[in-house]
Amino acid sequence: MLSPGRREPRGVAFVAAGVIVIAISGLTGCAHYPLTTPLPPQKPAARYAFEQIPSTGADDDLFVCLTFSGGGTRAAAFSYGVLQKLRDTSIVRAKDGRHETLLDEVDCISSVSGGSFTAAYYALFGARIFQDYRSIFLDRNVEGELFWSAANPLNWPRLLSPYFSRIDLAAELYANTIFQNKTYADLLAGAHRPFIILNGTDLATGDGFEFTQDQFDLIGSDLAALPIARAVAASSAFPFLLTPITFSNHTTPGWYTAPPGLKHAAGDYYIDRRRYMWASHQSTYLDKGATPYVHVMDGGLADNIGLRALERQLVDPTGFVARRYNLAKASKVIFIVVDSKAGEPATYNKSESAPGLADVAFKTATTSMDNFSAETIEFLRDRQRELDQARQDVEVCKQLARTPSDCPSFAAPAEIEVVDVNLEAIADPARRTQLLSIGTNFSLPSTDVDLLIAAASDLLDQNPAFQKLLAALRSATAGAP
Amino acid sequence: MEFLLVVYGTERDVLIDGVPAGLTNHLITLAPGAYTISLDGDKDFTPVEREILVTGTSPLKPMRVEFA
Repeated sequence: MLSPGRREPRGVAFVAAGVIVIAISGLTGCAHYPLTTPLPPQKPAARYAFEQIPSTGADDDLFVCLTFSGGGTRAAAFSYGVLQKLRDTSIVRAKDGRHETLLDEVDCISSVSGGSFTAAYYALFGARIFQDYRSIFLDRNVEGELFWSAANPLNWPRLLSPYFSRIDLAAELYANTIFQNKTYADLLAGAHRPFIILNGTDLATGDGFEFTQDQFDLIGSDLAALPIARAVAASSAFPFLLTPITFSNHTTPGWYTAPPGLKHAAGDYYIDRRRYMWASHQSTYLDKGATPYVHVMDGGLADNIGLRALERQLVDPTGFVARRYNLAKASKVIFIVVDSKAGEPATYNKSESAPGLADVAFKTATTSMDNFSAETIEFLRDRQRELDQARQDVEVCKQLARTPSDCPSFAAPAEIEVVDVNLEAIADPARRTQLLSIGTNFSLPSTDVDLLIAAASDLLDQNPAFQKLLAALRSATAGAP
Repeated sequence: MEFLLVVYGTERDVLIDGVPAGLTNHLITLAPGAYTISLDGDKDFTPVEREILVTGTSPLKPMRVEFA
């Protein structure tokens, strides 16, 4: 039997431990990821949708969209190199003889993961990216900062909460050190292109989740209030290393009606499986009871080059790219697809022993990305060829018909050009291997960043489609006023 | 890729699923599938809208939708 004298210290320790547990529980209970803001009862006048962002040029005659792939700082630096090259490419507009750069003509950017940092930073801060983006992001050891943020004991109570995780810490870090706590409302207030589509992946459907108001309408949420950093964090939350970001699926207000295309596409299973699947996945958000939450992570899981979002805008007649084409607003539609590839060259075949679990897991996560990316670009090229062929068919019809006006005609002879900028296209094998061996994490030596920026410039210089575009722009300029 | 031709006496914007997405009497490109077609502006035409299913078209044999 214990004496009262010995029982007292144990009692104090018990009480102290209880206080600590209660304190931690209290802190843990308080920790919660930031909730999204429900859509207001009245329809907002301003919304982050392409048609609400004014054109940077006088019109959309030359319509340019970029896509930035995933791949950590490697992808961010490579896409930054493309922006720099476009800034250094002077053009003279055929319509009015105005001198500008090709970068001035960029109307939209669709991005994934590492590429989303560059896309978001450029959309928010414009040309400032060429002054400070390297020190603010590219040359920083962001990965180390993420590690130390999670290792900081002050953050442990929050991380014990089931409603707060490492990705929320990452979003805070990005907001404080890169994106200056800006939100989509700031992008809207800036009122200039490019319009950006940051892409994540809905873990439940496996389909892309776009950070646009059209997407947020479906989950009854106001994108304007969302910090840009949370969208970038979701877009770049690589599986296993980071956790998904969670969004509430709010009830939509009375003024909202779902796009009619969702209902139409529900019957398209045997006609257009791609459209059917998209509509089927998007429609899950309308069932608020069955889907009260949406968990979004790295956009690379659904499409590691960010091109699928723009392809839908091209083939869906209500999409903003198709509307430029069909309403005769653009005579040239340019897609510049910037892909730094998903991983590093495998060296397993040099060894007799089988790859370890970590290698197999990484390869499993990234192999399908590169295969799918190649197919996605070819899908776009197929559309380009179809449209070119259609224009030629119409021209031949007019030449052969007795009454040319009997032939159908397009409103404008718009051309589509696809510029594929890929590290894999580096001609010199040693340099290609060197570039593809650069890590896809969020910490690179400045020398590697330099190599990636230079590679972007060189690849555009050697790219046949890009050179053809420049030649066409210059020949059009010859007849300018 | 499919092709749609909406025929009407004058040039107007064509509404596809309620969105101005093309011009009357000119080819419109679109993905295969079902759509609701109408015209923008005054509702001085008939029918008010048409439900269509577009598939198997070509630029020289587009789906024709007429409004009067």
